[in-house]
Amino acid sequence: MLGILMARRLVAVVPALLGVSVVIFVMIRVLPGDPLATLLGAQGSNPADRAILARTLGFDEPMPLQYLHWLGRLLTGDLGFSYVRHYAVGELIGAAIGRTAVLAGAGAVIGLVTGIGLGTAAAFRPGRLLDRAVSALAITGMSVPSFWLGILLIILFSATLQWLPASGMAELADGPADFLAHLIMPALANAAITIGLTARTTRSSLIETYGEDFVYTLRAKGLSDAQILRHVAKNAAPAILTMIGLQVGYLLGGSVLVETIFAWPGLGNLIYTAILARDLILIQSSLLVIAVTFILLNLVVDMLQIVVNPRVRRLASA
Amino acid sequence: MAVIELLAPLEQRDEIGAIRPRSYYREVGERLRGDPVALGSLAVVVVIFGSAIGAPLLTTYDPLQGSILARLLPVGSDSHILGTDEQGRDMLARLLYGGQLSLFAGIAPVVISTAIGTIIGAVAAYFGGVVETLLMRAMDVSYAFPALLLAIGIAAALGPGLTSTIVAITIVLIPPVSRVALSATRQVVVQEYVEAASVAGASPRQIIQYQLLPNIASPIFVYTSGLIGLAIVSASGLSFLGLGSAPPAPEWGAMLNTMRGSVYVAPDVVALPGLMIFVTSVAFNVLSDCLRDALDVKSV
Repeated sequence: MLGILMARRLVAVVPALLGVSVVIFVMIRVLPGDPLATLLGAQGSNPADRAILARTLGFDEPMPLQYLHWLGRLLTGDLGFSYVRHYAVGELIGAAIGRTAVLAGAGAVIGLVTGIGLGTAAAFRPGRLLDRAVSALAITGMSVPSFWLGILLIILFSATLQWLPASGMAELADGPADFLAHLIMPALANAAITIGLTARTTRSSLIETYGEDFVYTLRAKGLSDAQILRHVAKNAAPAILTMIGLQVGYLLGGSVLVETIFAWPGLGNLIYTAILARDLILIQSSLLVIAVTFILLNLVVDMLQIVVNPRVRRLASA
Repeated sequence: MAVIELLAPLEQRDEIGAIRPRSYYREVGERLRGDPVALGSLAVVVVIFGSAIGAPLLTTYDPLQGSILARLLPVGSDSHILGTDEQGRDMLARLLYGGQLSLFAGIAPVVISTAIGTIIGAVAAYFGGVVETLLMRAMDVSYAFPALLLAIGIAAALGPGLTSTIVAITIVLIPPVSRVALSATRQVVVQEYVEAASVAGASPRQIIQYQLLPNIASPIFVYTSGLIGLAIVSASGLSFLGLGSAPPAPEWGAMLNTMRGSVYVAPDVVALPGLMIFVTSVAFNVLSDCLRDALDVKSV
């Protein structure tokens, strides 16, 4: 039973991946931007040059055929060639993706641990001072632009106190202290929105569960607060688990802004420099890689749901 | 309840003494007026809007005209209250005029996507079947992307500019709005008055327009009001990345990007455009929360 459910969820990934590939193909070829003009630069006006380049890049084929060829190359792992950087896109992305994973991972740990902790504390006694303070903090975290928070952190810890380096990344191999000193500010700036959203979702799903009948039964049985929290947490877990999957997506998206500010050499920074250089192929391949990562992460979360949550199993088999 | 109704004062009764039904929106208005947090955030929103629109009246400085002799003056300078930017342009003037672009770039996508998303969701829920599957599967594709990245991709493909950011954020917001509209419409479409209208010979268009839309307005309004803060932050984020309105036009996100190089020289001035984005976004988010409570809509 479990196997069938998981297989069904696995199959659902295929249309999602195809959908993503179509959207990105449409971005590259169909939207009114002119990739040829960008590549040709000053010679863009010469129709002969244009025709040669269009032929080399396969732009003279009909659209559906172009799509299939592009998809075929993707499946063999060929992400294209950046004519702006004269470099294989796959190699550029391969070098950057691990660094973004470090930053997003650190942001996820900070954001989820703080957010779930605050949300749980707030849900314990709704309406009290602590709950109100957490709600205020959550809405602040959700509203603060990460790129501004990053600049504020630089003003405080780099310009004024001179405690932390304002930009760049250090390899873990060169010493954990330097590595952490470079990581902490971008990770915090990236995590603010996650803290806010996680605290809010955790709080509301816990409060909802606290109101259910089985909690009264548990109280009547004389269980302690801690024991009740364990039961409540188990029941609220699915909603929180789903949100964790989404949060990692936000962190990947936010990385563009945060990496730009802190000159963190990851995918986000790659996308920013590609925007400045109008390097469309690099932008779209990076987006493709991130979207596929995002789909696979959500797949993992859903698989966990199926394993962890008996209600999902019953619902899906009904 | 019955006792209270018997005691209802005369001004709440009509000419034959029956109790007037209280308007839903009037009740909502009263609840909002009694909520100091709602009033406070509304006041902040009004002040920000007013100062953006009234910018020409509030400052005599030209937001585009700088002076090489007055670059990066600190906050509190004699002739420039909020200092000057890296080209010697008056910061207060740039922040005030900047509000026009930043607010427009954030609010326009919410308005457009609300209109389009509501129609998509209502049509999908009313017709169901193949129509619903086609429309909603198309919407689902966008959920495979982190929202901000999808917006970045679209804006980059369209080329930098105010219109690109508005189109990009609109496209990203349509699917979630249509999902909310879909679930709200599903609850309304089974009501007897919809069936009655259908039996009475109303066309699908008439039913959607007169029976469905007015009854799904509240949850959609609450949901989309919560998107404004997010849209303003996203729009200024796109400008920060160089995808929005181009310099020298004042726009909060773009200002933050061009000024961040001066963070060691004039940190207080550099922080100002971001402060505007932050305060605007907080005010809209708090106001939206209060609206949700006042309209008593369960989150969808």
